[in-house]
Amino acid sequence: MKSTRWIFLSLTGLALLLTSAYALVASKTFRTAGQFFTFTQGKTTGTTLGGYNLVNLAMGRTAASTAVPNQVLALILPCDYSAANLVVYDQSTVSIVATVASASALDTIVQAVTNRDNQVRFLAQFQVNPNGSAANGLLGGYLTVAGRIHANRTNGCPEAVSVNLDYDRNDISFGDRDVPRSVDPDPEPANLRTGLAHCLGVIDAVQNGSTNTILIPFGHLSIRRAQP
Amino acid sequence: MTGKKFILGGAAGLAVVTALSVWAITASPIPVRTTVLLTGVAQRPLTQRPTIDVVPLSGGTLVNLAMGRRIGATNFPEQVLALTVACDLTTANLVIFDQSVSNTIATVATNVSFDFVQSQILNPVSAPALGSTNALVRFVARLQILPSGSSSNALLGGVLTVAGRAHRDTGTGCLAPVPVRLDFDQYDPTLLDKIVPNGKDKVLAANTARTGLAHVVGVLDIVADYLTNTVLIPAGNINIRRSAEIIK
Repeated sequence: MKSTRWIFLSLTGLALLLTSAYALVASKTFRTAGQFFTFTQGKTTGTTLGGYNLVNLAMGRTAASTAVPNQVLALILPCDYSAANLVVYDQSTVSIVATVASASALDTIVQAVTNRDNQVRFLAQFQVNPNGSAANGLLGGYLTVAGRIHANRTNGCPEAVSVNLDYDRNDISFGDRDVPRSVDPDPEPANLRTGLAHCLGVIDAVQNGSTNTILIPFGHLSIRRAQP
Repeated sequence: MTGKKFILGGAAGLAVVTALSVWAITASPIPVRTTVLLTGVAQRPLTQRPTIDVVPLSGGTLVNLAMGRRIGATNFPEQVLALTVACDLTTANLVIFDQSVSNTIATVATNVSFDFVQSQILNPVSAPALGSTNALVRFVARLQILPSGSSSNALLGGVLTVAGRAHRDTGTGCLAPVPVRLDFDQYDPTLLDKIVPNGKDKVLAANTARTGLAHVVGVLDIVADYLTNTVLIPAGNINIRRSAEIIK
């Protein structure tokens, strides 16, 4: 009888240990729509880039290409928020095909919310990785991203909630807002969202063989549902 | 005779252009009084339930911390935040300028990168005092916070990414103010560039001229009353005003 209890306690302990380990190492990939307001030398007005434009450049295609709609921008976040990566996620092959930018620093703070998920606020400094081809590509740059996400109260993992529940009183003053489908097309319904963020930065890119520095004085990121 | 006149004119022109260029490159940037209002969010210390506090930080707050004083100190009103940007736009520093001695006494942050696009004269403004027409420079800069202060109150580090616009003298390349009523831009609302109200970060002179506006996101590591904390800055506004306010 006593040994049965010990076996039960050991198995429970093991399960807890495995759960904790999972929470520590597990990462989730979230479809993330992007809208980037930009200035470049030689243009007298600002222009807007969508997340798909960055995806195209990262994959060596012309920025405006619509040839591969299943490749979309996504954000990878582990449950312990020790890292963050902006990636190109291929929804048809369910795989990551390129890493657009990696966070060199990620600071987070947590707010407990009664009867709801915790809210995690973060500030991430992303370094843009070289990707693409000689004609069209991303050469470098950085994005400083500030945002908020919902986090499971038990294991801390980021998770999506109904869009109706995803709001914060500081969204307007911080410049956090959803990205319209017209700017970054999304084949999936946008009824779930993990959080919102905004960013400032610079991207060095080559487009149709011409190299240019793209200032991003403001951008919006809509962190949506987890991908399979 | 005509040839001599052309030679004389050419030589004089060359001398002026050379002198202006050398001056523009070698001239020490003048600190421009800069008012700041940051919205910080920080983890509330010593609580069982994780809680976020919203912490407004003004330029005066940053100055106090950098000088080792308490956040709310008011005993050195002449020490103010200022921005120095090289006329060739290679460097930008956030500094503390002491108006009583007309001198820079500390550097709060220094740029690790400064990217810009220029000559986009979207709102051409005549600046008669400068003898030239302004150009507009749009920039995104990454500023590294330098450690400063004391063991009780200090800035330990951090980074501020600043995006903004500033008027520039087309002759020297240096940043130059224009009358406030002429300092507007069609993209200000989109980019959340707005005025820091006078009461939010103290100023000593009327706001009659301004060099530009900017906004910021970043993170600050601070010590306030011996408590170390990380303050995320999801939003903030910067008003780049004019040097006349600090150089009397």
